[in-house]
This record gives sequence, structure tokens and C-alpha cells, in this order.
Amino acid sequence: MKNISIKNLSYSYDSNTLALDNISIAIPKGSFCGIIGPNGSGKTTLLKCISGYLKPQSGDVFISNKRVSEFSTKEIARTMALVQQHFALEYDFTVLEIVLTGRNPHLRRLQTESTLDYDIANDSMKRAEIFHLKDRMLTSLSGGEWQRMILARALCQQASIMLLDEPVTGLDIKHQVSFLNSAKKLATEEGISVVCVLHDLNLALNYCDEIALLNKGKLYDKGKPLQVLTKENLEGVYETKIDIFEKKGEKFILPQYTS
Amino acid sequence: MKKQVTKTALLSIIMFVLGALAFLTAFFFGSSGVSFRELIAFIRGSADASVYTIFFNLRLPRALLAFVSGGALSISGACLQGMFKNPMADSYVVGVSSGAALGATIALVFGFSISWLGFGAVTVFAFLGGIGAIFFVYSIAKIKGKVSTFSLLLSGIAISSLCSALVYCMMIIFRDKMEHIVMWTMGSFSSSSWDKVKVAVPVMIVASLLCSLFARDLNIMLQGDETARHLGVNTGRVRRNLLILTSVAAASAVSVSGIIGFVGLIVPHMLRIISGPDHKKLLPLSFFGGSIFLLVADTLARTVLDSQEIPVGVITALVGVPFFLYLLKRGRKTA
Repeated sequence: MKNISIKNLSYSYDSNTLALDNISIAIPKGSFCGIIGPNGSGKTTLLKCISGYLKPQSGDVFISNKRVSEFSTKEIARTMALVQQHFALEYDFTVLEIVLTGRNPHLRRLQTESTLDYDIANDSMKRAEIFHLKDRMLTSLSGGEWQRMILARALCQQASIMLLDEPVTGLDIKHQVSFLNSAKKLATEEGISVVCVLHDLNLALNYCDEIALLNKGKLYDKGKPLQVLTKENLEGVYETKIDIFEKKGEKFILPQYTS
Repeated sequence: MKKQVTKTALLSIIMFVLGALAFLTAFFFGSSGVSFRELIAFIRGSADASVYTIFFNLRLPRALLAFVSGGALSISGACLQGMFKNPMADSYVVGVSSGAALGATIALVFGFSISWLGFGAVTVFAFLGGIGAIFFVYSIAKIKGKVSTFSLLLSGIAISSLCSALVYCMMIIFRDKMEHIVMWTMGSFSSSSWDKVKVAVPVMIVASLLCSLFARDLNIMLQGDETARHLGVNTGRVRRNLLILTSVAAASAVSVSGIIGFVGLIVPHMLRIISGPDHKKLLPLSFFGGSIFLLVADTLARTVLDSQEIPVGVITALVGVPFFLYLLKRGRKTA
């Protein structure tokens, strides 16, 4: 299992503004780390820098003390798996065919998927609770089923780091909870480090072990959820009035609905 | 899974039978009327040498060239459609065919008489034009060291239009060569020879085989560039390699036959409708589907009219398009 260390990371899409400005975060192995912040705060850019998809202007991302920029494309895919927001794929592949693509980082060019690869794909679908959908066509899946299929594909990569980019956006409450329960299990039971970009502060409060709060490309605060998700921090970052309620020992975050 | 394997096996058997029938038809039928009976007579020693020439120096190299060219054009189209995630992509769109047409036109209007490995100037210039166009397209599309499918597609269309405009300009300026140019752009295998077979066929087969090694990458790239990178596909390298291989395959085909439309566009679509979008099945099926399609089209091109040949590009459009539209109407299996 691997830990992630982000040191003095800066990235800009153009020469004028920094999308990420001198970010330093350490994510211990086996933890569920949430990245939160308003729109445009740099959450997805940070995830793309961690995954090596974007090359930072300065600073570095280290996976167990090795620079991500030194990894080959296949090495990255064997180390980190990505689950993105729901997107449309109009080609009629079956669920099994998509999940099996998760084995690509482990295969050579002339190698075909072995029985072991099929076993791993079947196991991944069982863990993501979509085994019964294995022969279904993509175009017939609901949003929740689709995200579980992408989770199964990521599990099939057998990576020690899971990057989740707004994975529950667009899902109903049942599917949000069900998806995040599965992701949380990966961290607690299998020691996989999960880095998850989230918009829902209550989900972040309930699922994350650590939270990094970003604002305008800068790291505003980091630490345990209850330390980071305070009224002062959230009002400062989201520029709106926030109430934090407590019921039966659990906290809930709500914006103040003023007319 | 078992059902899919059975379906692929059945399709492969159908392809094999159709391929064998197409080859036998191309070998035994022609405008000269020389057929199976004459071949038997020649084997028995009771026919003259012209029978041998018709069978083994005219029909056989022509059939081989048409068969492999069809496969090369079709597999190129299938790869490009997968790579660009665009059903309209083929060797025209990325500029190979127009570049080859420009090369051939230059050789025709200036009357170059060079020859290389038994190839005439038109063939050599067409090949160089096709390959030159794709390098031009690639270098324009490369922005900050990265080549996106979007910029490739746009620069391909732009260069293709530019090459076509230059061909039209030359046709206007050199009116006496217009018929030659028009005939070349309609495609024909009438100048097939063993010299062309010896060089072009191995090149097209090797390029097609290498293309098929990228089938898994193409399947993954359909999920989007970023996802493909996260699944271990070096998308930039795959795109560059596939562009080179498909260009070599298509430019080789176009240089020995002239421009033959619809094969690279329609055959992969037909097979995608029948077999699904998986490139592991689609690429080999496209090769053999394109081979059979072009061989049948060429046999029709040289036998339908007694007096003269019809350009094979006309046959591919006349026969291929209605059949394609029928399949499209009957029910699309893929987007």
C-alpha cells in the first residue's frame, strides 16, 4: 500500500493565474481523504496533478517517495485508478468488456486476457455489486449502475490508490451512500488510499478521515473533518452564511436559506 | 460470452467462404472470355501462352492487389474511426487520399518518367503525396507537444481541401491532362502487375497486421483520452503510431489503384453493425470484409460492360452505398 505526498505544488492553465498555488498535503496509506472547495478552487486540477495527467509548473507529487513524473503510463495505471463523474459512452460494449479494460495496465501488447484476468474482473464486479449486470449493454445502465461499473473497472486495476473525481454527482441519495460505503470499505478493509473530490459537505464530514479545503487554488485548511469543516472556514471559503446543527452526536452542515 | 464466440466464428467462416468465392470468380471471369475450360486446356498443353498470360500475369496480380488494397483501406478506416471516435473518419479525412491525388496529378501533368522498384512516377508520387500530407497534418496538429484528435481531424480536413483545390487548379491549367487525372481519381486496378504486387502487397499486409495490434488500445480510447491514460494507454504514442500505419496502408493502396472511395468508410460500419464495436473482432473482420468487397467490385468493374472497364470507385459507391443504407435502416447496433 502506498502513501501520497504533495510538495509545494503549483499549476497554471495559462501564464496569468495559478490554478494551484503552492499546495502541500500528505495523504497516509489506507486513508479516505476528501478534497473540497467551491467551484474553480482547483480540486479536479489537483487530482489530475496527483494522477500525472497534468504536469505541475513547480513542486512535485510523490507516491511512496517516487516522483509521479518518473512513472511510465502503465506504472501509473497499476498504481492509481480513477473514477470520474458519470459520462456518456455510446458504443455498445457489455459491462464485463468495460471492467476488463481495467486489466490493460497488467497486460503486454500481444497478451490477451487470461482466466486470471477474467477472475479478477468477476471479483471486482462482485465487490462493486454489479456482477448480475455483467452481460448488460452500457446503454441500458442507470447512473448508479454506471458509476458502480466504473468502480469495478478501477478495482480491476488492482491499484493501491483510488482517485475519485466527484463520483456521486448526479446520483440519488441511495446510490450516493451506497457508492461511498463501497469506497470507504476499500480504505478501511483493504488499505487502499482513497482521494475523493466531493461537493457535498455532509458526505465529506461523514466519510472522510482527512480533508483538504481549497479556495482559489490555495490550501485553505487541512486536517480532520471536524477541525476543517467549521462555520468560520466554510463561510470564508463559500462566501455564504452556513449553519452547523448537531443531532444525536452527529453534525449537519446547511446553508442559510435567506431570501 | 459463448454466444459471442460462436457469432465471431460464424462470421469468420462466412468471410472465408465469400473470400474464396470472390477470388475464384475474379480468377475465372474476364472480358476476354477465357475461363476454367481454357485453363484446363492450358494445363493439358493444348492452349497457347496467351491463356497463361491472362490467368497468371493479368488476373492473378490484379485480384491480389484488389484483395489486399481493399483490406488495407478498410482496416485503415476502422482504426481511424475508432481513434477519432468519429464515424466519418477515413483516409480521406486525414488527408492521405487527397495528398496522394495531388502527388499523382503532379506526376501526370509534368510527365515525370522516373521509375522505382518497377513502379511508375504516378504510383511513386501518389505514395509520397499521401505520406507527405499526413506528416504535414500531424505537424500542424501538434500544439505544445500534444496532438489532440480534434486538431488532427480539423487539420486533416483543411489539408485535404487544400490538396483537392490544388488538383482542380492543375486540371484547369493543364486541360489536356484532365481526363487522365479524373480517371486516376476514380480508381482502377487495370495497371496491376507482379512488380506492384511484390512491393505493395507485403507493405499493406504488414501495416494492417501492425494496426490490428492496437485493437485493445482503440477499445479503451473509445472511453475518452483521459480515461485511456488512466488505464495505461499512452494515447499520444498510440495515435502517432496508428496514424503512420494507417497512412502507409492507405497510401500504398491508393498509389497502386487511384482513389477508391467508400471502402474505408462503409465496410467498417457494415461490420460494426453486424459484429459490434470491439476492435479485436472488428479490425480483422474489416480487413477481410474490405478485401472481399473491393475484389468483387473490381471483378464487376471489368466484366459488366463488354466494351470498356468502369472505374472501380464508381462500383464501390453504386453497390456499397445502397447495401450500407439498407443495413443502417434495418437496425443500428452501435452509435
